Amino acid sequence: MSTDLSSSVRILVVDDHPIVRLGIRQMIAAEPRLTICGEAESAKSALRLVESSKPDLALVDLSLEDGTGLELIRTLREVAPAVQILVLSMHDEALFAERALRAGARGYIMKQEAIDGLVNAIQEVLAGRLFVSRRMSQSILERLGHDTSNSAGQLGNLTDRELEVFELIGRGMSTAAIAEQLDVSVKTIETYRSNIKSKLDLKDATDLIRFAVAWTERL
Amino acid sequence: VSPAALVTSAGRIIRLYGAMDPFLDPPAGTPSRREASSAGKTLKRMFLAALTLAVRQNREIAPKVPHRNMHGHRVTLRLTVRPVGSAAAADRHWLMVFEELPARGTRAKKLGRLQQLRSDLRSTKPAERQVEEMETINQELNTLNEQLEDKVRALTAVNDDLANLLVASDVASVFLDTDLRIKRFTTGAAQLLNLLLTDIDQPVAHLASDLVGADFVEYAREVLETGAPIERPALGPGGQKYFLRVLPYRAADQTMQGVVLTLFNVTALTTIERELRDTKEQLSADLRRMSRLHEVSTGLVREADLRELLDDILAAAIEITEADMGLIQLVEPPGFLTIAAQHGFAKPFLDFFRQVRLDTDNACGAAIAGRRRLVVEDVITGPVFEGASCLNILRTARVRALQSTPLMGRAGQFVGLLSTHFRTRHHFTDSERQWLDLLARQAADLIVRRQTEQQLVEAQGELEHRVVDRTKWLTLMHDVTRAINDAPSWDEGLRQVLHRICETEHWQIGLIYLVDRDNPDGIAPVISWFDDKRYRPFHEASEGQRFTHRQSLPGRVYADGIPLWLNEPEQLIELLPTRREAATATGLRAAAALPIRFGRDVISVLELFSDRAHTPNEVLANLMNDVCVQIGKVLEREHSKAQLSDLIWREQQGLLHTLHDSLGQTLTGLGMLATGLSQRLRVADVGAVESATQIAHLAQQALAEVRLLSRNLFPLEIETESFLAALEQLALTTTLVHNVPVQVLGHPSEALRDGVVATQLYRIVQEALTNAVKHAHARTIAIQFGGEPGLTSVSVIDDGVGIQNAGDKHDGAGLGIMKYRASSIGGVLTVEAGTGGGTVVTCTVRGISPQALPYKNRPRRRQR
Repeated sequence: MSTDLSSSVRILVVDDHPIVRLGIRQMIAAEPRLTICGEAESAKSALRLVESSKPDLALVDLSLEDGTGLELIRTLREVAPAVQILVLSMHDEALFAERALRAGARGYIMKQEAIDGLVNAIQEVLAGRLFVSRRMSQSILERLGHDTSNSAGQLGNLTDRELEVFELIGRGMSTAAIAEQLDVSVKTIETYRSNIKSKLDLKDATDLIRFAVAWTERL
Repeated sequence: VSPAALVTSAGRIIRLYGAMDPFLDPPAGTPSRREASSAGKTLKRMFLAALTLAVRQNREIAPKVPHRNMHGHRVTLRLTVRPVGSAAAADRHWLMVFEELPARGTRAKKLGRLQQLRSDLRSTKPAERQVEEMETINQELNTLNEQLEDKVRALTAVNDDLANLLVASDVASVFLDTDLRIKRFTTGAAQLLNLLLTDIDQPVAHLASDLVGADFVEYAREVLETGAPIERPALGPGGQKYFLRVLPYRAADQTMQGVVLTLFNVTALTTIERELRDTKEQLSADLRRMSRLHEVSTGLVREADLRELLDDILAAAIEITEADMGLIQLVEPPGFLTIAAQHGFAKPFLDFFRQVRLDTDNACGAAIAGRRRLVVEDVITGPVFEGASCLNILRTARVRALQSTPLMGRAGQFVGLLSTHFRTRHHFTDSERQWLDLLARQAADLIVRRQTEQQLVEAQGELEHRVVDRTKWLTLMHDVTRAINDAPSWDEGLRQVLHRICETEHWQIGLIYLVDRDNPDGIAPVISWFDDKRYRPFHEASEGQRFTHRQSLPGRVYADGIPLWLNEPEQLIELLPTRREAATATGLRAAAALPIRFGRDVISVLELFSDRAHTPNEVLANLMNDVCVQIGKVLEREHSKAQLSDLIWREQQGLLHTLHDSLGQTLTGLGMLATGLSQRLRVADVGAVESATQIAHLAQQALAEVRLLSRNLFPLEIETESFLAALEQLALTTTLVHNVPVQVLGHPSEALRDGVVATQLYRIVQEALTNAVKHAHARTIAIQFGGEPGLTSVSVIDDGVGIQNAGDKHDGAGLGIMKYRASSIGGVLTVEAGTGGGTVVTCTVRGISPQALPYKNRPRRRQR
């Protein structure tokens, strides 16, 4: 997984915002060991460039003009397994970092942190390590600790209806939307949510959503 | 006096006067029983010829006729034939007077007479003086003779008059002398008593008379004895009635010289008299009836009860027809005849006829159908009731005869029957029928007038009632509309409506049920009102209730959509199974539940309770329909507000996405550019590196702010337990982003009911903060919790320019949305000036959390 640090590292930038690409270019230009080998504004051109420019690492935004970055990540893993992928996104890492990693990315950095942390992230990934923010890594580790105890068993404790609600939360639906779909009151869904949280021993709504999303992704 | 004869035109002799024998021929046959009578004698042919001539000419004639007198001397007669009476020529009588004229002598006779006169002269010559005396005497004699002749003429005239009078008069009179012999009689008497001329001078006792009760002899004697007249009735053989008057016959010197019997035929008179008496009686009866009718008529205009007036009419009918019993039946209800007044009947009869169908096939039915009077002069033998079911009833009631007169209105409508009944057979006279008609006319007019008056009164009452109802309705609708429009929230509006309805219609407790959010098939009380604390237990018992379809009173109305009114304690107990004890304890006696519709669906139920009976009130039910239209409008308005709010929300979302995606990306790019720049300048220009690094830092900071803002505007759904933390985060963000310190003071006094309430409160605070910062230019802001048991309030207090001075129209929509948010969670939003300047925006949420807007969670239900 590690890359030879002595030679120049080729980086493919996949982002639909020209100014972001420009900024990345400027930052990479300041690093003597890093080279921009190509820039793509869409998944389609990214796949084309992967063939021609032979990058060592791809910087991928999750929101692209012609599709989601997650799809691109999965495809890149298939067509060019050697290319390391670092996700650079405006999206909340709490919601998408784990998904990105699961899809095959080696790191996830939010754009606000990228201004002074991008090069470090690139280097971490090139060094063969996974990169997420400190806060994110802590959260994942905590949950993994829970997971090892009795996560599956806890899910088993959910009633069918609770499981149904849990799955809909995982698909990103709001409480009101779930209530509407199941034709019950918001209050009822809130009760389900509360039950699910206590059964799965989750701290708050964010935790619940995160876990639900992660679980739904696994399906 | 010259002899005379009274004869008929045919020459039959009626009476003879004086020595008439020389002028008559002897009778042809054997002499009659009465030898002296003139029967059979006839006038000599010569005289008959004169009569015939007079009759033919029909006037008086006086021819001179030769005649040989009783001495055998030839003489000349003056025969006067004079008509008597004024009858036609053929029937009149004639008076024939035979007057011998002085004979004109023969020469020898004259000579003889001359010689005699000469001898007389010789014998008288010597006494010349004697001659003078004789002449004087002769003159006196002549004078006397003339006087006598005058007298005779006068007497003859009187005699003629008398004779004519007697003939002309129809009166039968017989003159008797003191010996009771017939002296004279009139033609009428001759005919009545078969008197003949020969009966003259015969005793009256010999008179054979057919008259009954006319003892002439006895009466005549009595009169002769007493001198006083006698008057007696008598009867003729043919039933004629006579009046016999016996008067004394007095001469000029007042001496009684006999009696006069006079017989008057009074048969016609008696008949007339009887008829007169009958007429008088009839008139008297009619007068009585007329008075009675008048009395009734006068009575009818007075302000009395109809039944009383009908009794009067019936009494008059009974009196007029002289009946024993009577009945007035009226057409009421339509299609039936009902007894309205009766006299003299017992229960079985009244029970049988109390209410009779108009189309009943009986005698009365026939009268009604024919619109004619039914007259039965004999119930038992007559054909009308033969085999009829009511015959026995009539018999038991001892009705033998009856009449039923239909009472017809002026417009020809049948309004009833006026009947009178008789215990005996009864013949109805025309007069009775006419009077009955008059009475029936009066009765019918009265009934129609009373019915019309009644209808008028009813119509007026109805009208007044409707005006009152309408006024009440208008007032209530006005109040309801105003309450709904002015209320800060729809549920507050409904509460006021409920209050108003309870107050106006006198209900003590009112509840409005809406769809239960936890169970869309059921309903739960959302808004309630009660007027006295003694109803609190029942109110509290109601508050926690949830009813599914058809369950309990509200559930049933919710399911059926039909109003229910309960006035019986058993009904209350049956339909309030879960609140039975509370209802009994608070003394509730009546309940009503009315559906509230939105379009065709029942969306809500209004439940009312009272401690007194309430009759089903259609007005209230209709009113609720109208109230529902108003409520529907409010809901529609709220719906529009919701749509507007959603639209604004989506716009904000779009803006923030743009901000997040574009500005964020741009800031990222700029930051990266600056970082790159600073690295490239690191060796060349230390000052420039510093600037570049600063730019990168600023970009990063800006990016963080954008992120913070978007996160605050799109917080993950806020839950009740994280509400305070979310508000604290919001305060922090506002402090950081706008550089205005925001403090959170206190905490919610009660746990919020659900996340919806928390989210809406959060957004209200958020909007208030934005207003405070942007429009009020606040320097410090406080988010303060407050409230009392059952209420949670959160206020945003700023020290800005105040809402009136903000001078910005933008908050109009913002304020509207805040109000909408507050009302959607059953809260109330107030915006006031702060005590030390600035603005205080407060949202207060009730502890009993209301439902969401009814239509939002309305279950999809089958269309009725």
